[in-house]
Amino acid sequence: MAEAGRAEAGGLPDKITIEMTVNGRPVAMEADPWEALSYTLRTRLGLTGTKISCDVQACGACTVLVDGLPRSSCTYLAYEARGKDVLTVEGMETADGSLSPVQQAFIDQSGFQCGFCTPGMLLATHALLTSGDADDDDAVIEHMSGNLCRCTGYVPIVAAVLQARKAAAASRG
Amino acid sequence: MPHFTHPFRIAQPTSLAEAGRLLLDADGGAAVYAGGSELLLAMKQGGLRYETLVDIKTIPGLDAVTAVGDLVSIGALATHRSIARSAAVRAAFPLLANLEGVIANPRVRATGTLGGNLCFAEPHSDPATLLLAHDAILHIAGPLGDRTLPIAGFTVGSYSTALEPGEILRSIDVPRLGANSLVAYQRVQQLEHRPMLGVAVRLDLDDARRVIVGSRVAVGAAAPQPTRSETAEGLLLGDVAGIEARIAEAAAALADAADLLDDADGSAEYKRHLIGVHVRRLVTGVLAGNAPQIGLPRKRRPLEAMIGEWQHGRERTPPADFKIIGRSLPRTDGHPKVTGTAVYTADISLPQMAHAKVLRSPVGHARILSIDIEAAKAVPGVIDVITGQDLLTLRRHLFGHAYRDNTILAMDKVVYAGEAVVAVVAEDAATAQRAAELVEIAYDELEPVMTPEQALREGAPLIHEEPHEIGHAPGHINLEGRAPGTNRLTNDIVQWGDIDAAFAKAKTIVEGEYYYPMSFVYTMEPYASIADYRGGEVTIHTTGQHTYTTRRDIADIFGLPLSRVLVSTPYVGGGFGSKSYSKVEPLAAVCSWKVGRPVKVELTVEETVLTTRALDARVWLRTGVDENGKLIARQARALMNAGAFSQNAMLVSAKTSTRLVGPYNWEAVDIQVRSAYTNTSPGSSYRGFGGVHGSLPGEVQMDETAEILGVDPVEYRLQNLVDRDHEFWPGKRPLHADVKANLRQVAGGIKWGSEEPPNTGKGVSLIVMDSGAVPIGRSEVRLHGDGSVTVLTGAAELGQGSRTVLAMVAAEEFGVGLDKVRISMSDSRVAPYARSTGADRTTIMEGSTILLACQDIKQQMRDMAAEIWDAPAADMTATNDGVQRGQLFMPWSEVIERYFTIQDMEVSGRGHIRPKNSEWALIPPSWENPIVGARVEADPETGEWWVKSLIDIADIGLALNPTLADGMDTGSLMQSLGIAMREELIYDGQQLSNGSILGYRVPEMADLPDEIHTFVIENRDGMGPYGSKAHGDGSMSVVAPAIANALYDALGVRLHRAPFTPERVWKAMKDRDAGVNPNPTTGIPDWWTATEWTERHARKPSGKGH
Ligand code: FES
Ligand code: FES
Repeated sequence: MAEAGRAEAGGLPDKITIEMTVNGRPVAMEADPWEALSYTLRTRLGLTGTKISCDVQACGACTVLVDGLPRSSCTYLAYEARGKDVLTVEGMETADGSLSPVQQAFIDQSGFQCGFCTPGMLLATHALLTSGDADDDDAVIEHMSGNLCRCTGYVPIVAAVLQARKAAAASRG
Repeated sequence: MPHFTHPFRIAQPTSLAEAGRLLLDADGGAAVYAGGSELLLAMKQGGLRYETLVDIKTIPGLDAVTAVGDLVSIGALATHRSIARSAAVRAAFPLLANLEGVIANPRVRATGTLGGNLCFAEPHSDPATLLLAHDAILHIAGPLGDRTLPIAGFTVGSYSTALEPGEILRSIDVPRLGANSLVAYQRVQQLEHRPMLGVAVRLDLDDARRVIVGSRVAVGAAAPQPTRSETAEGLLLGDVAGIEARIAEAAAALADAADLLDDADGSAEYKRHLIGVHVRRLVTGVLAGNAPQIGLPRKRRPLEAMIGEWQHGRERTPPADFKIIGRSLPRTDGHPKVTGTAVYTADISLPQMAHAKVLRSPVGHARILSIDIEAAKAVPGVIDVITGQDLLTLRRHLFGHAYRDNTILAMDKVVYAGEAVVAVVAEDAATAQRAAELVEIAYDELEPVMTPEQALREGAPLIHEEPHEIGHAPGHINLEGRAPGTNRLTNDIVQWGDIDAAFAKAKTIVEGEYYYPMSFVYTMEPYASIADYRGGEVTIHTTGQHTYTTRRDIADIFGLPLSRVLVSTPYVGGGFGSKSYSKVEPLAAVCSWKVGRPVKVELTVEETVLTTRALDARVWLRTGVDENGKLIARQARALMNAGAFSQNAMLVSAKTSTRLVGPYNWEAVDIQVRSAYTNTSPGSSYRGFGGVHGSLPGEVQMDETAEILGVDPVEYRLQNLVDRDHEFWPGKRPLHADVKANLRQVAGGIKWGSEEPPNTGKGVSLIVMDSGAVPIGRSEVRLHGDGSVTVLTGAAELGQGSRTVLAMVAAEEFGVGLDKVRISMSDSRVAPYARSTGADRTTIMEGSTILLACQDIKQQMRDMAAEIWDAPAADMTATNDGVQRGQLFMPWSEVIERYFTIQDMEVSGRGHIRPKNSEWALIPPSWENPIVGARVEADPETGEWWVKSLIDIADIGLALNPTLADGMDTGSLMQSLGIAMREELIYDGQQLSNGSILGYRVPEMADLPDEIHTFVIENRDGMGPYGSKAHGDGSMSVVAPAIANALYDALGVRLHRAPFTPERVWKAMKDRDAGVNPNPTTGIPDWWTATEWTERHARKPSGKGH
């Protein structure tokens, strides 16, 4: 854990080009190598649905999916998302503009109060349902425990996850 | 801050050799960047800084996991997730796969790598400990060639490995186990996902499985590095039969070998004890084939069953006399909140907006000698650097609703570590932060006072040398407790009857000392504010719960009229009292005033803790019982740590004194609470204002008293509780609740009296609280010509659902669907004054004003209809749909159109409440009577415990929206569980040692009990709309004592200090076994009498405070 050492930047670029897909749309921009994806999304792209709380990958408020896997966008570099697919809460609605089954489940079960944890919870649920683990209750609890909520006491969130799990099972047939 | 403060660049080598060269060339200025989950975290937290990250993910082939011959080779870049899912690992090392599947959280597992984890050598990590038991071999590439190293020699200390400069871990080989090798691993976690201890055991048996021929034992997470003990391993060898006799010695040897730390996770002594327990459980378990499995700490009920029961428990028949009210209509803010379009303060961006960052004091108490801002000012992108001296031209440079003692920026001295001293305004937040680090401040340190005991000692250094101005809104707060010339802030007294006489006749007297910790509310949304001061007026966007109090604070700072201060509170990410009154709004406002541009201030969670925390209480409590077993006397003395600024500590102190009373029929009460300024982060309100500070002593002592009398604790409460409509508190509103019936219901809910399995127990706890609100408010309602409705109210939407519930009142009154009602945000530009959003006031008080405004409109409509029909107004009746006159009926829209001759017209109504000359005069407006029943299961060896059931009462008169109503209680139950389990802010000297979400962990989903239920009691006996009562704090105030009582039932230990960490439970068991009396007879303790001298300095002689 040394103090900042001196280093030759070795001619490395100050700016990097980031091309990625965000919510199904390709975007390209010049960005800083040290830029957290949350900054790119919130500040450069105006996608403020992604929330920042702990800022140290512990609370899950900033959860987004990159190539389908959940990431803490507060401590995940935009650099890492080059060439990848990023999904934020703004991209969850289905193509016809209706709410996704996960979003609908959170409304039906009143799975939020202040709503600050909600974008992260929705994406964590989405990731859970595609992980193949969702049928195992312990895995559900383990997975969702990575996202904190201070308002709901989690019970309605569990109810929403179970509703979404059923919907996903039904659509698989 | 969602940006890294210090720039770095990223190198993309294509080979390990190139990567190694880059590292060597950078000479310490570069780091290997693998998954980055730990590296970036450490860089973000500020401790670690590199100019270059060498991204080895650009080197092909380093992430493979392959089974080769008698080992499995794991590439250094394989993520935890991929290892957990790897077929090769699952087949050969299921335990390792399971462990990798529970590291940190799914986001970290998707990104972080096993190689990175080993190389980072963070001491609180599991995999290295388990890999020690596996004799893993590490392959290392380096400038002088490749080498291999057994894992035992790899981690050499905390964050320190045997890697030489330029060396990079390539892969980890894990040798396959023989058929007779058994491995087990136990992680002990107090902060979920971050072990405080990990123990790994491997036993190699002979073919007959009778003799242990080889062994490995290792311990990690409790010491600077994971440690094996060859002595312990040797002791385990030999015959399986009789191994029990050798285990304790082996465990002791393992504990000896590890350099066990006394730290925030626990004492070395407790860790040594746990090593003994877990080595035994693992060795005997693995031999018996039932070793503990890695995963959740306990078996849960199936989720479908739990949720099904919970849902079933909340079904109820909607009241027939309403169309809207009493229905669980979906929240009106649902769509914006699930689509990411709900706007919170931090989401707002204004044209030309600049960003401010703050440099905070590193010391607790010091004079500021000099501040050098030149270097910061010179940073490109910096607009201005502001210090306290710049504020001297303002009308006021201090704020505070009760006392104006809160600095915006420190003036000539700092009074706590974390106080804002300098603000840097720049084009972006990262630049502001970097520049702030360049400000040089010279301090002359003064003696700090960190506790109320220190602060109220005669001769203690004064924190505030000058007495402060009284603020603009002291409200109904008792200001007499402040003793100028001392650090005393409050002195709250509740007294009636003759306490000495009561104790003189008492047959049984029970005494004890109790402690409720300092805590942090942690709303997910940290404090943020944007101010725009231009053209003689200032507009503020804020996360605050007190829109209109903040308006007044800002007006006072600048000498502006209220009409030129426009405060708007968009959606708020949770409040729970922590966002009451002004926090960062004054800072944003002075920054904008200084630079002439809009300025955003967005605090981190760490800065939020340093802005406001919640108070602790040390309480001595004595109860007197007469010869018939009847409670007669209650006496208490309490000290609270108010911190450096008063904020709302005065109300918390006052409420603690009233909430220590307890809803029993006392002949005499003598309660006194003092709080003191200290050099700590300012203390303020938290859900329930002192409720649990009062109930933890009160309700634990109720159980202790019942036990001494040999009476069942529930029965004992029932014998002594106050009856409905009884004026148990002289001069206050009679109790409008049947607390006895409610207690019976909760007791039934946890099957009180039924047998429990061993080490499982039940407890109850209750309180009656005077809801904290001042009954002042007003609303305006507009009924439009098309029948739709606009409601203007100053209540903020903190998540409690005010926008939904208040809209339902108007919808009910005008017979329309919720989609026809639009409700304002809390915005002084459009909405009328609201005193606050807190203290459970909104539904009953703002709701009442809305109801009155609707009635005002209906009155006008009757008059208008009377004119249209040319008939006396007395013949008109306003229904909920229109005006009725005998058989004739005219809907609202027709009344408006015919009266005004145009359909787009509207009628507006107003309503207000005030405490004078009204039914609101009697205090309190509502009594709340939360009751909780808890069932817990405990581990009698380790002191760990889990909640099985949490049942509570919401006696709320009428649930206007049942789902939202019991949602408040579910949230409150789980929130308060945190402080029963593990939440406690800890000062280490002058510094807060755990003021971040990594160190201060709140409940998570895994902490959910198997059963949770709220009985909603609806007797329509409240002052609010349709008979509703104050609601929102829920059972926050009684969870901790219910759990303490249940732990007594389970283990026979009295817990007087929250949180009830496993270590404290374990210590209590040792005390119990040693015969220590938890209730020694001390009389009024010395720590209290040592503060009596402050009375001589009190503003006025303190009288009966309430
Ligand atoms: S803000 Fe990223 S995990 Fe908390
Ligand atoms: S709804 Fe407020 S934090 Fe989850």
